[in-house]
Amino acid sequence: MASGTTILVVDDSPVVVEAVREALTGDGYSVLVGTDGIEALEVIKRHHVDLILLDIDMPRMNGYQLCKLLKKDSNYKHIPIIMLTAKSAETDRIWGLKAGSNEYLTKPFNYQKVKEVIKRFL
Amino acid sequence: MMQQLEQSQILKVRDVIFRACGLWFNESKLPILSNRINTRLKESGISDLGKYLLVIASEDDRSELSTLINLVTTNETYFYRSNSQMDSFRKIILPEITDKKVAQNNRNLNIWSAGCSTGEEPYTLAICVLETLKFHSIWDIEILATDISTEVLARAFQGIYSKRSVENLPEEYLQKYFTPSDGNYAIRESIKKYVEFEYSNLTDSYFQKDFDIIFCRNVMIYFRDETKADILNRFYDSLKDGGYLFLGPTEMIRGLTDGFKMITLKDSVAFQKVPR
Repeated sequence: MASGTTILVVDDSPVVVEAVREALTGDGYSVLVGTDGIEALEVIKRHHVDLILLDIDMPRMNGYQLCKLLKKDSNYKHIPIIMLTAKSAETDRIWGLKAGSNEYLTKPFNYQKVKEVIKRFL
Repeated sequence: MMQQLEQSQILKVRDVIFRACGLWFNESKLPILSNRINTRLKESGISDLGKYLLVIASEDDRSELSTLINLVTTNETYFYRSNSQMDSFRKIILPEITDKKVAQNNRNLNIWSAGCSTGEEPYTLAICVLETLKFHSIWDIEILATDISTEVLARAFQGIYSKRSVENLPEEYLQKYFTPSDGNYAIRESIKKYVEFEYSNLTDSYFQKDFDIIFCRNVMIYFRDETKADILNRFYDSLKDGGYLFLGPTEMIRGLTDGFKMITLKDSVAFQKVPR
């Protein structure tokens, strides 16, 4: 099921990136990484991506901005975006959904839950 | 009762805020910071500032830090704030820019309200634009409104304001652009549709390009000079040639950037982008 499926992890924290990468590759997913919104855009242009795990507070381009850009672009709007963030206020969540994210999960995260949500969208 | 907070710990809170979003409280603004920390300690039920510091410095959960940043950056604002500046915008700058565009058969107008708080500024700008442009329906008008707080953005998007907030507006505009709502005033969809709200941190988020006018009033007062200079240079890149930047009435840019010429308007000033 996971074989051949590529997930892009966008987060500026190396600790989070490594933890998520390890868990996802253990489940058979291919993982690409972007450390901010601009880098993620470059990755998306060059590679096929099936789903994006997206942090919000990042340098250069934040997660809400990237999400909005992708959801406006007919080439990418079909890609499910799961926000995975330490921003846990209700208005943060509302803003995430308004920007077009498909799901909004807060850190510290439970990998089992992340996995369930990923499966729901693939 | 206000508790006396230890200065060294207040400075530590200041550093955490600075690292998170670039806001800097200098000596003169430290009492404001101290008051607001006190308010937040009471609300959060954490009585010890040392413990509070650990909470806001947490990498895993930034919710308390976000709440504190919201609290220290939220300023009182209202429609038609700084009347003379808004009048100059409406009567001098806007006609100058739009007349030029009409002559070039270009009917796109892009304005950015940076640090829009609860939405009074971008909605005021939209009202000014509609009141100024003849045949505004044939124009493509976009007003981007950004802020660092999703809490104020949500309120801005909702668009419901107290009587006090709209008291500077002419009665005619109130009738035309608002609907009474339980003792408050709700902005009409005919204005709302021109304003796009977005979460953005001026110190490191992505800036869109090709704006005719940028408003960033009383926002950079919280930044250090090097941060201000960086933001001003990024505003420069985001403006079209000849575009205008409006800052708060007491904000000056001398020594921070050479990209703008100060234009004296009736009782206020604007900064026009000049070629470098």
